[in-house]
Amino acid sequence: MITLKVNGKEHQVNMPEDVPLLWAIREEIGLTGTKFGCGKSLCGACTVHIDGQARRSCVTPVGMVSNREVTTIEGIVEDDGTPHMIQQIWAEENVAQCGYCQSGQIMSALALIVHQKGEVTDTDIDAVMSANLCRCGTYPRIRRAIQRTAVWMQSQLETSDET
Amino acid sequence: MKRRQFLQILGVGSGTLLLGANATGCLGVTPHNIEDIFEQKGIFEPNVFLSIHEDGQIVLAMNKSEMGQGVMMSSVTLAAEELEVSRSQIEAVQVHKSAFGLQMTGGSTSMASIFIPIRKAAATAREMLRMAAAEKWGVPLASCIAKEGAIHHSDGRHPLSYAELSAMAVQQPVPKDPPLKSSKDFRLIGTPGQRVDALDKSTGRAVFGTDVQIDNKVCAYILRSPVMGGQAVNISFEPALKEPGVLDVVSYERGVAILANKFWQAKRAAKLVEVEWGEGQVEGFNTSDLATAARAKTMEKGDFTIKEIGNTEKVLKSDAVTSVELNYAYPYLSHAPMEPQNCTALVDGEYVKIWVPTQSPTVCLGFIENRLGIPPENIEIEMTLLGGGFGRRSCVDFVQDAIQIARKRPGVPIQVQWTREEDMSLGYYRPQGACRMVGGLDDTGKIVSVHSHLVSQLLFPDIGEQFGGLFPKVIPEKMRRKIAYAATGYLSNTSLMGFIEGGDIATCKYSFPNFRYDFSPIHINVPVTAWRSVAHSYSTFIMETFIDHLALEGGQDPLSVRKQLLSEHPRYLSVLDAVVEHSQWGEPIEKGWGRGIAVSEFARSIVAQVVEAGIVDDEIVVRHVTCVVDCGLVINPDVVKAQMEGAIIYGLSMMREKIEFVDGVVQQRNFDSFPALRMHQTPTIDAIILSSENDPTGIGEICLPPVNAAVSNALYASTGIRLTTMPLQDAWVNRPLQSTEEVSL
Repeated sequence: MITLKVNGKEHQVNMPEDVPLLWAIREEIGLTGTKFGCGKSLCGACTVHIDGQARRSCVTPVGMVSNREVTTIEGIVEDDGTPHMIQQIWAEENVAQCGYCQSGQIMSALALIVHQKGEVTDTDIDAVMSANLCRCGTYPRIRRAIQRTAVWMQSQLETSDET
Repeated sequence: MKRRQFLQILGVGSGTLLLGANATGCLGVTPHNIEDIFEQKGIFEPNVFLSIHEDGQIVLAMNKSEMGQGVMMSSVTLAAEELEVSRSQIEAVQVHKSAFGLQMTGGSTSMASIFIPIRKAAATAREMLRMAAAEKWGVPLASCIAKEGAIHHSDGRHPLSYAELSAMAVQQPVPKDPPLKSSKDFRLIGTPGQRVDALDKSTGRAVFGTDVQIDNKVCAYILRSPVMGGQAVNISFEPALKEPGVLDVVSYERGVAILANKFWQAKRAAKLVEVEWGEGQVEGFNTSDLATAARAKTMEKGDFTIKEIGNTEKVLKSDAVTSVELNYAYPYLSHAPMEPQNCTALVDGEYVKIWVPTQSPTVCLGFIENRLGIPPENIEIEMTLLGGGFGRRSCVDFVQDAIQIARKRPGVPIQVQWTREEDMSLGYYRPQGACRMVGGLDDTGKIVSVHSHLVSQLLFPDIGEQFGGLFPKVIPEKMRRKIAYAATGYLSNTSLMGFIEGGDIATCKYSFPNFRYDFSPIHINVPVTAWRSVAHSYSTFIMETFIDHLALEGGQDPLSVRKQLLSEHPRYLSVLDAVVEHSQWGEPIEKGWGRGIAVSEFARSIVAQVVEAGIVDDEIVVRHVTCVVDCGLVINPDVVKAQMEGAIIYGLSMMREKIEFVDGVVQQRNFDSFPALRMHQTPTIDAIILSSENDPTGIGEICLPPVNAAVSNALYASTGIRLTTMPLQDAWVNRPLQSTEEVSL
């Protein structure tokens, strides 16, 4: 038995330690927002946060994350069901087409924005988001949504500095 | 609302206003009379079903598949417009119903085909609600106005909501020809808005085929022959059965399936299964050999002459005419949608149910009927969202996997999940081919002749088998062929082999005084199918680079030559003028960069692009694309722009993508060797839509075809090297060194 902490909740999963975290999330815990795309850390559809950092769950052994905080796309939604601001902006910008890769895109983007405290350059976006594939070609909108979320993040940090 | 509830509501009827509409205006089209509609209209048009029930819930049953192109948003927009409700008041569900007749999403035909039927269905509902209010109030119909989800009276009395009226509306006579709103009264059509599926797709709630949850489902991971089509001749799997969760290992036509409670258990146990494979369908096949043979064939006489105007041979013999020749080649390509293929199937005696992300539930139905001999009324198809389609999900090989495995465990739902490696190495592909273009220039540099010889695999050699098998038997063979052609955006000349493969060459609008298109088919057992923009993905590249080349060889301006040769086609001229206006075409550009232009037509829409490209560290870099489309009246401008951006990016991926066979084995198996375009390689894109009052035409594919041509033209402008082989990046790296290069660089 491995104890996993996903979206703030503890789960016991009965699987060998070398099985990718992706399958623990999807099949054992039943959270299907995190997607299987390549199985080789090439497309980023499976991106989740492990202790706040964007990681590809398709190549992360479940045994490696037993005492760490795992956050999935479902986990960034507020407790009352309100989507995270990045998710709202994603929707307002009509980023998603088929939508399959977007959970991974959003988790990669959010980690970048949080890490950079909202100071995100185009070069940062190129460097980080080039790890996430989208066959529908939503990249221009992903870029725009990241820029907007980054501005929001800055304003949040300023507000919290003031208080 | 869940689909199950929805179906119950359809069945109950009382208090529920249930309406249908279709191309001919009659209810309940069955496959038996599809042909009539098809013959009358020339293209199959779909049905829609709207239901409004007592709590005011409005449900729109879509007959189209949502694969990212935004048809859910557009369907809802059309219905909401005529019903006088907001988009958020309508829930759209993808359903398969035999009453819809043929359900097929492809060829960029959705908007053209649902624009009137959905609005008619909604207008019918609106009129019956007005009639109900008129009866309830005892007032003339003309004083009852539909507005904001209710019927208002002109005297300002308290309005009646649709929920209050739905039971009475059911009793009203169905109006034969309900008036459709005039375009000047549109509230929603033509106005941008947030997609109805946007939030579900940003929060992980959207359900794709791979996310289907069913009690007691069993997961299948499939081992495949290294050469596609090989069957297992010997299997040893005893150790795998001892692994946790593993239930069985079954051999079938397309591989060896490990069945387990969880997919990870099946995949893990697969390492303990040893299989000896029999001969595959393309044993020993090399794409490099095919390239050589196809190239050689282009030099010979073509097998079929598809189109001939004037006499190209005679013209080229004239002393006054200079001949210009370019040789083209293009590779097999995988669709590689982000969601690997999958399907869940339950086979229980004479009953089959599948849960599937598909572009055509009708094709799935016909396939199951033909394969298992089960009547259509015993087959249930539940549709999920598609994690990308691009043509790939019009095939049914993943359905075949699911039903053949499920048949071995009656009563148990089997979920088949492909890996990326399976998705990329099992086909279907955009065909590989070659083309020789020979042009003639007179002594003034004017283009007097173009002769094209295309050598390619047939896209749909046998509609019955190739397009999945697959339409229900009640549809005659002749119809199946027509449907397949209709689905790929062509209606005319359906009898001509090589017409569909010719794409932009076959449908060429340039008024060359002498023109000839010859076609020679390649017969090889590699599974091919429509790939976003079908034959235009290579034929526009060929035509639009060749005309550029001819213009420049004749000392003329590529834009002026295009406009002269398209002078009879005002829509082409408009997009060309607009793309010049919105780009910096003709203006100076810094050393190392160039601009290229291209124009194309697909699914009755016209596109022109200007691309800025150059070479940086031996890599092709595209930094900006200006794109103008005329796609008729626009339902959702932001959806159209997203399709423009998406098709350009999918097209630019072709600069590096290829599928190669070596000794029968596909070499590209994942995104490391099949390098789809990524964020840092994506140019800025200006997407401009020309306003139009014409009926809507296609948008999902149209912006892909010209982009590689425009890139090649831009690189010629910047380097003096003409790239005629796709992928362009390979062509650049393998370019023959020319003296012009030193001069230009």
